[in-house]
Amino acid sequence: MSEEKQEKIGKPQYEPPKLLRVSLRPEEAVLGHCKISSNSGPVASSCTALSCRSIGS
Amino acid sequence: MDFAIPTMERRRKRKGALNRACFRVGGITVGISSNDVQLGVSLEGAMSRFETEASYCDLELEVSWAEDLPAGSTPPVFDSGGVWKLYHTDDMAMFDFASEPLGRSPYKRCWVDHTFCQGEIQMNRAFFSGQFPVNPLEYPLDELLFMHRLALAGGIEVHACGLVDENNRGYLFVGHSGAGKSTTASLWAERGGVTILSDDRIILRQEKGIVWMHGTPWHGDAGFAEAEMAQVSSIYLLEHGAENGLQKLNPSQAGAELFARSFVPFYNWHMVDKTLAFLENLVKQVPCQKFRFTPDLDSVEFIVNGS
Repeated sequence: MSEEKQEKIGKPQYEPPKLLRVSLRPEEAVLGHCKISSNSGPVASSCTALSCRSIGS
Repeated sequence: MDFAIPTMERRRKRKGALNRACFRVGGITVGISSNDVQLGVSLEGAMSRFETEASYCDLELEVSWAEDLPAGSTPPVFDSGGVWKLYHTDDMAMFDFASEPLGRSPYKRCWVDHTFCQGEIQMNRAFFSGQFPVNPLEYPLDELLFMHRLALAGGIEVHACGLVDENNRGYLFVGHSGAGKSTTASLWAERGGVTILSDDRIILRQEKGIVWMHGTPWHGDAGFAEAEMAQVSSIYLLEHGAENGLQKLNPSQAGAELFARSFVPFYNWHMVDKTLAFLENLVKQVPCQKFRFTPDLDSVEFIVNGS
């Protein structure tokens, strides 16, 4: 079938692939952060003193 | 590897254990056993709502004290950048949990076979002296085990709030930390007539062509955690906005956004492959929209009336 005929029957135009960027939070995705500040292993009570900055939810 | 790998003989000691507890989350049962009176395995807090009875669970874990746990001398398969690292032997995965300010020695180690059916947790006694009760499955080990098991069994844990209304319509609100999951859960609870499965972690599984969402004990700030499940009717990607609005996402957009808000063993191509296949199927079946919302009851009515 010629290109002209294809256009007449409504063939959708070619769309090149698009790159979609999504926001990933690595420390959350790998369970690397502290979910709850009071619940982080034997150092729990000293988390704040140790200036942990990885608290998430 | 220079680690003392648990033997099958040691793992058999589970039978007739002094302490034992079982729970079920997302259709997966976990049994945890201990033969030491100082190593309680009771289920506390939200986890107690997920307690079940089973003589043998999908994942069986035995807990014991270790007098010494030497830090790994070989490069890990994966370093989370947080408290845990993963090592592999031929037939076992080993998760080490250490806190850098306290030294390199792990405070806990968990061995699991590569099918995530049985394992052993070794608690480093030096780190827990005088600290009772001890929770062997303390975050993030509990979720790590589920993350891997789900990837193998066909399922996924997502960062989401899930709820079901009086008409059995299941709403899944997905979002990173701070996106508004707990706020959304609280607003819907205030409106009433709903069961909140979780305000932070939902497990998605497919059965007979239907996508189900399961509540988990791993709740967020609002504390919602129910051992129930519901069919997923619609998925919303949460974003704070000046006004309420919906934007349809095509399947590829939806799949990518959901993947970024899921818990996936990124270092294992086989598990990533299975997870992507699960998500591809999910977004073909369930409509997914971006939901910009205002943190008030109008946002609830907006969804109820618009869907």
